[in-house]
Amino acid sequence: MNAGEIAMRVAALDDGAADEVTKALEAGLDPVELLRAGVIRGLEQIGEKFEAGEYFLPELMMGGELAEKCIALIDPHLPEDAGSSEGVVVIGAVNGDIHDIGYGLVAKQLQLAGFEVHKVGVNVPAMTFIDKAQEVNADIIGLSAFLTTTIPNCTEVVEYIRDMGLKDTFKVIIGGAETSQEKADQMGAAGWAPNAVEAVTLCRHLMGHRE
Amino acid sequence: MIPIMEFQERSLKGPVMKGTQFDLAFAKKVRELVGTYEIKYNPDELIVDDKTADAVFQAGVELLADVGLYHLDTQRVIRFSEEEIREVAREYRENPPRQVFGQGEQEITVEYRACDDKRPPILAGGAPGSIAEEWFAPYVQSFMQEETNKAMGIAGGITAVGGVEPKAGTLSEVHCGLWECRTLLEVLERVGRPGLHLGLLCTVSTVGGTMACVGPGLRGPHNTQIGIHIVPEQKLDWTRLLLAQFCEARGITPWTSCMSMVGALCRDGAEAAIGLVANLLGQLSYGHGTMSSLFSTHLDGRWADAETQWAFSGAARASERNIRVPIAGVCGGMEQVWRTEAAMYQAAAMAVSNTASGFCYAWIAGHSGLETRLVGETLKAVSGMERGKANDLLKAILEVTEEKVKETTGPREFPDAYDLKTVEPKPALVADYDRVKESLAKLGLPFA
Repeated sequence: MNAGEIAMRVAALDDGAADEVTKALEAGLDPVELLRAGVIRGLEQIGEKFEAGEYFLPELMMGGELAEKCIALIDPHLPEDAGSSEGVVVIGAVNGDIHDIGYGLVAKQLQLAGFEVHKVGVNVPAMTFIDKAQEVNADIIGLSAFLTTTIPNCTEVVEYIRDMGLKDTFKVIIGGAETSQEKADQMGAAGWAPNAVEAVTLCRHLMGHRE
Repeated sequence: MIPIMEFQERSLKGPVMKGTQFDLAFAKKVRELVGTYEIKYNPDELIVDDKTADAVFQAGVELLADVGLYHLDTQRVIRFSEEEIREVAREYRENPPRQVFGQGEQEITVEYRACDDKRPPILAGGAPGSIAEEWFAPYVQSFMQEETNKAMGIAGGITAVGGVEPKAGTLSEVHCGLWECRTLLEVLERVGRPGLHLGLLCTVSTVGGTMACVGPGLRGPHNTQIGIHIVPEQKLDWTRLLLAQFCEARGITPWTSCMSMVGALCRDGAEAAIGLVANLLGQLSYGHGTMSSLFSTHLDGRWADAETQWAFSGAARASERNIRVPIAGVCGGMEQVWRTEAAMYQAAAMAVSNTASGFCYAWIAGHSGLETRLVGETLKAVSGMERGKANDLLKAILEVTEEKVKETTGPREFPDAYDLKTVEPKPALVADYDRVKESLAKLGLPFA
């Protein structure tokens, strides 16, 4: 077994990936290599298959669960700085909005891209986003709004962050059917993405990564 | 019928489940069902046949019986037995609802319509989208003044009134909602149609906001529908149940509206069709609605293409043959091309597909009054058309549509489409309308 085989099994959503990880660790393979060239590469391949229309949302969810199992096995063997993520994102649908597929998809794509993602659910009050972001030391807060009447609740989160002096701590991004770059600019959000793939690009950009 | 109060118990006592577990259960079951019933999206047969329609119905019943509805607030699953679901369908099938809207000369009756019915569907072209205060009144007037338009299926959301945005759950939501109600009634008076049905209440979205906009001199049972719909896929919360209860208590027809997305939990049009039927039966079980909208989009927001129309046809025909609740649908192009030739072709394609699939109520019909006129002409022309002929016509329109969408660089804003003072379409929009109508006629649409 090797990292490439683990990547292949993760990408194929094969439950045997976890067994392969255990065997690889027992055989003394480098855990950092297993994480990066194995599990994370497998997740990237899942993302690629999704973009190609070969995989759908359930595959992203299954892939995420499988990867979590594998990472839990590798984690105790990692040196302290090996598991660093692309960034930490708190994400949910704002107060008054119960649409969960869009933000759920963005959350999953971000996870697959290596971000640490904390979902706070739907119909979420402004302060809940901020509390969670402070609790997990988030870099980015992602807000989803699908209705004309809930977009002002995105503005509310941005204003709370500004008024609490946290503007330099958290970057806020927005998305959803009725949102736009123009609306993001008007409310002072750090960015807007029209879909999950571009949300990953946006978050990477905000984290200072080059594409 | 299952009494609404039964859903109190089921919402609080059903099995606890995380949302992601529910999503996976839904996706796995719908995948299994397309295999069991051999339901396949067929781009060559966009108006679904009887056998496929019945299979979609059976699969929809099984899907709802297997996964139930997910309550987002309690994080519990509302369960149904298969017998209960079949009983809901049977009650509707044996006594198809008839629903009267509007008053006086503007009274309309929405009733079950079969796919080959010669009676055209009701044209209820509303004013969809986000609307700026400056052009709200002329925009809605453009629909209201069209004589063939029999109702406003919806009046879109106002973006702000006097600079105040409608913020859900706050005073501004009600402020903007009331402004919208009053403006709509003023415009109805202006065009001499005070009794016109105003359709789905849109600007307000919360329970409190909705209740505040229903009352004497505003909205009432004769001119209003209130959304109680499930969000994709198979999810609701207390607000939907509370509004269903409010509708029942006040004699208001609930807006039952089913949406299923291609490319999210459903992989394709076949799975989305099954999702729509499960969604429909779930909503009818608690909302007891007398009509229902069906709509499918791709995950990236595209609609009006062959696959999403196949999903509509599968679900609408499943309902037409097995539930017989009056079906409503959208005949309007995508936002990226609104009020252009491309959007007119998209609207016409949807009108052909929906009419030949048994829908009875076009609640969105283009994005201006003139486009609504074209949709109405299309509904009339295609009604009673034989399925095979409608299918060939639809495919021909979709082929042209694809090319037009590629050529189109962006939407035409309403103020660029209509003169805001005279509320007459500008020459460029009229020229597009004339060109599209002529082209549709050449493709085989038998306009009167």
